[in-house]
Amino acid sequence: MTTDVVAALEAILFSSNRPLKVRELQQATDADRNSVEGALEKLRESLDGRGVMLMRHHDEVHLATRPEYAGAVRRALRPEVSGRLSQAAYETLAIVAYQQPVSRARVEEVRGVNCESVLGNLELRDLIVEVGRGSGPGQPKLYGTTMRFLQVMGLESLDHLPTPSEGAELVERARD
Amino acid sequence: METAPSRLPVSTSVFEGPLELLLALVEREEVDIFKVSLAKVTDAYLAEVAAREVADPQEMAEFLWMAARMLLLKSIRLLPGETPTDEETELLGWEDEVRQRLEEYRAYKEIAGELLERAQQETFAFPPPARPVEAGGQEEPLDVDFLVEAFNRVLARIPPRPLVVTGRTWTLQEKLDVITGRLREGPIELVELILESEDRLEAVVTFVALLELVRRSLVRVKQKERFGPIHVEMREPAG
Repeated sequence: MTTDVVAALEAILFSSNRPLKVRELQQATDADRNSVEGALEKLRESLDGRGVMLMRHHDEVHLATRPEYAGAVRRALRPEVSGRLSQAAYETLAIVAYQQPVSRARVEEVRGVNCESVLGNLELRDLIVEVGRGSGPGQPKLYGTTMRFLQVMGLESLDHLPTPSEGAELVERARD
Repeated sequence: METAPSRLPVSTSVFEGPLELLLALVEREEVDIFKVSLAKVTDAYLAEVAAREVADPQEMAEFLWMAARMLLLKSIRLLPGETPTDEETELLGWEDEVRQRLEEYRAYKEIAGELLERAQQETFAFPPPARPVEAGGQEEPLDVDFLVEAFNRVLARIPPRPLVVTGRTWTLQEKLDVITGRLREGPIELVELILESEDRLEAVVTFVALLELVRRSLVRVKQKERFGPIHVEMREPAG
C-alpha cells in the first residue's frame, strides 16, 4: 500500500547519511517510479510544519532539518561550520544555480571576468559539480548545483531559490 | 552638461572586472540601465581605471579594452553630422549589448546578495549525521583495486602544482613517518589524508606510502560499504 511506502521512505531517508536517488528508493521499496514519486509527495506534505523537511535536488532526495531551527540545532550540537564564501563565489554560485547546466565560458560572459579558480573552489567545497559535457567546441564541462548547495542555503529544492525583484525575466530568457 | 562629472565618482572599492566597475558607475547615474549612455560614464570609468594599481596585466587589459571602446563611442557621440562608418555603427550596437550584459549581471548580483543574506542568517539545513565507523573488524579485507580507484577519484580534485612555485618534494620515507605519526593519533579517512596534499606529486607519494604500509601489514584499511568512505587505521603490533 502507498502508506507503507511512505513510511518506508521516511525510515530509509531518516537513516541515510547521504542523499538517495529515486531509483535507489524504488529498488529498496520494490515500488515503481510513480508510486515512489507519489509517496515522496505525501511524505513532503506530511512533514509540513515539522522540524525536518524533505529535500529534493533533481533526482536525489534526502531529509534535513528545517532552516528555521538551524540556530537551535547549532546551539544543541555545535556541528562543524562550513567555510565562508567570497562575493565572487556567491555571484558564480547564483549563475550556476539559475542557468545549470552551464559552462565556464557562459559564467565568465555574465561576470565579465575569469572564473576558473572560483569554479574550482566551489567544486572542491561540493557546492557545484560537473554534470556533463557541452556539445560545443572542446566539449566544455557543464556545472550544476549539489544537494550540499541546498543544505548550505537552507532550500527545500531549487524551486525555492529566491526570485530577483527585477531582471527575473532576463534570467529566465537566458536559460534557453 | 546636465550631469556634472562630480556626481559620478564611486567610492573606490575593488572591482573584479570591467562589468562590475561599469555597473557601479551606471547605477550612480540612473536607475534604469537602458537609459544610460555609456559615453556619459566614460570619464568616470577612465578615472577609475587610471587609479588602479596594475596587478594583473590580463585583468588590466580587459579594463583598458572596455575603456578604449567607450572613449571611441564618446567621440562619435560628440562629433555628430558625419554618416556613421561601419565601425561606428557596430560600436553603437555594442553599446546596447553592453547595457544588456549589465542588466543581466545586475540581476545575478542581486540574487547573489540574497544568497549571501540567507547564508548569514543561519539557515543551514542539517542532514542526518554521518555515522562513526566502529573500530571493530566488521569489514572484509579490502581489495587494493578499490584503493586505487578511490585514489584516482581524489587525485582528480587536487590541482597540479603551479608553474612558478617550487614546491617541496617528499621522499617515501618522510611520508611513511608522517602517516604513521598521524595514525598513532587515531584512524583517518583516506580522502581526508590525500586531500591534505598540496599538489599531485605529494598526493601520489602519500598514496604509495600508504600502499607500502599495507604491504608491511602495519596499517589496515576498511570500507563499510562500496563507494563509502575508506578508513585507514594502525594495526596493533602482533602478539
